[in-house]
Amino acid sequence: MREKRWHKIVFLILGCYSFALCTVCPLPFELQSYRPLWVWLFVMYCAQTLSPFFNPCVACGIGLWMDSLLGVPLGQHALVLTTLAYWAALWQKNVPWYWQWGRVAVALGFGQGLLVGLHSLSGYSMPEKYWLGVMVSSALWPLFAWFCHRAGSFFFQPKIAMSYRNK
Amino acid sequence: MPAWQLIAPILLAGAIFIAQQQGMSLGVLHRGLQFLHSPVYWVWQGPGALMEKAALLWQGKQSVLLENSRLRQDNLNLQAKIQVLRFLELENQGLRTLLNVGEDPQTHFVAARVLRLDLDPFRQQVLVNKGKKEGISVGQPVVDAGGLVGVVLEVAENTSRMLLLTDPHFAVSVQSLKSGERAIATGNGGGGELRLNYVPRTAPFVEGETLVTSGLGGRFPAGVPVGVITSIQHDINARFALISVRPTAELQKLRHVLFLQEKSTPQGEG
Repeated sequence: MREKRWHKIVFLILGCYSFALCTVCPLPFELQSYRPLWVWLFVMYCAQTLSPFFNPCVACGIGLWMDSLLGVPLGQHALVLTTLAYWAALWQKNVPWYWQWGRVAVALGFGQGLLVGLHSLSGYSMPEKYWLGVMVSSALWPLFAWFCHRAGSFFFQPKIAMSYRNK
Repeated sequence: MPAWQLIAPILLAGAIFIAQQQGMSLGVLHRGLQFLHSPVYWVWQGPGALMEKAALLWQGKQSVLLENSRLRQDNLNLQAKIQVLRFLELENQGLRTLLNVGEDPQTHFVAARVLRLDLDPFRQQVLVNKGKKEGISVGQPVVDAGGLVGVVLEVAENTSRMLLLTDPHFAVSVQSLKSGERAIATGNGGGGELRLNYVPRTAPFVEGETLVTSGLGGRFPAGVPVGVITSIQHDINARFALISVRPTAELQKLRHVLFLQEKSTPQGEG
């Protein structure tokens, strides 16, 4: 009864809007560089748990939505989130989520590098503390995945590997 | 996972990115996406308004009375200034008629509340709660009590995004109040300052001088305060002086802004 398609859609929409709110909420200027990449983490979580319903095409749509939300040239986040979703989907069920923080750090670092490259193409310069968000997000990943897992279990049965016993 | 699920969105996102870099209009896509993300700011607006009301409740009667008396005093002073300005305006109009020059456009203001302030080093933008419904249009100048804040970049139905004057992509023609010397001021990004470009070392700018918009180019009305010169560096080996300007608008504390709207178009230049 929990595997209905609209349950996943509701979870995805609620998650996107909630984490977008976390992304745009104001922070003191000094703390802005430390803001976790909430929507990126959520896309990676969904790519692992909502597959095949959630695929890189959906991530691309969310990326375009993020570009519009943040007022940056369209296509930047779309490219990054598409890549991240594909990457994360490859790990699906292979590694328990709390062991994934290293992979998450590499994937987010790659995504941030790609974003900085695209920013440079748009004529912007690279800020100094751009990498802090990646580090904070990677450190938060186990907690984030646990939270999403809990919240998601109200809507559907998440397929992510929770421990070695599930493998 | 089939490869097309990766390749197709990457091609699509890449094409959109390149199209935008080439200056192609993606109006329909933009409008659709703005419609989809407007609930985020709609939700965000609620707590902001509630917090303002809560702050008023916390202030207490005594402080509200004090503020009220201060505002009454300010109002009186401003009324007196308006009387003087009205006389000057009439005199100005008379002189313009005598010289057969077109009338200056009448300006009115639309107030808006700041929903989001992005002071990122590479993107200095502000999102406000007024949009197409209130007649806001792209390119409209925005000011606060201190002076010029920026220009409208994008307009959605209920919100609009503006480029702050400290954004690296912002440029405005300014002139000194004292000497009348003109220059182009551009945003400096993360520093929260502007700099004057291509100013010869011999130009008569001095520290502490106030710069206002020159009105050249027609985008900004003349005489809007832009900033105060904070430093002038003369490098022997450089052809131009290095001049930094601190904006008169309080960008870090921005909560409300005013959109400048012209009621009529000018018939000629004064």
